[in-house]
Amino acid sequence: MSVEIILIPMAMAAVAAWQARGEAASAQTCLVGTRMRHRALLAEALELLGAEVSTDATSVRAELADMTLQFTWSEDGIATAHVEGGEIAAAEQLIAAVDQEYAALVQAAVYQRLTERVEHLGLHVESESVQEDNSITLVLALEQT
Amino acid sequence: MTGRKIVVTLARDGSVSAKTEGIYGSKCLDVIPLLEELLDGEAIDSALTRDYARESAEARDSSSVESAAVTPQFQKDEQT
Repeated sequence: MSVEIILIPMAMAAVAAWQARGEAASAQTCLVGTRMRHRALLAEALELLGAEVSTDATSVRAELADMTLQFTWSEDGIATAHVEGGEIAAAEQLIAAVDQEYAALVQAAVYQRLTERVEHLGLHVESESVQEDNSITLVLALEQT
Repeated sequence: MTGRKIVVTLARDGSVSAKTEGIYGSKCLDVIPLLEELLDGEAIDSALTRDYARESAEARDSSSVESAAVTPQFQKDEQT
């Protein structure tokens, strides 16, 4: 091994050890910062959790676990969740669940992108395996030039 | 050359790690833009290991840690 690299897909904000942390914005609403950037994946994650999801040009809205979630994006492309109908702790727990679902979708999307592109870049997949922690390991061989 | 490999691990939390095998010296750094295009991810840390020093005996930075930015297009909402 000559170089070891850690990468974060741009669908995620590059934050180390993200945790759902909420703060009260009003009597009914709290804000929870996220690391989610990709709007379509977020909507899909919410749907997988059983939420009713609607989207418009600037936000993703969902009804889930008796709470209303509205996600808006900052200029740097990271979503903030506005949560109504729950205490801060409940909101944090819910957003953590959404994040977990979202991360799994990111993993799947990165896997698909990698396997679609690998041959075009002079590589081929020599082997792949799924580990106990549900990580996917692929060994890519560089083709001879 | 045979045996040149990249081992890529896609974690369940969305992060990606990669390490090269059988690629010696500064050639290993050529992998970073390759991974940039392949994974559309941002490299937040990288470490040069013993194989880098194996060929680059004249280079002094045998085990420095540096950040390599690999900024992906994956962020673009409409692309997927």
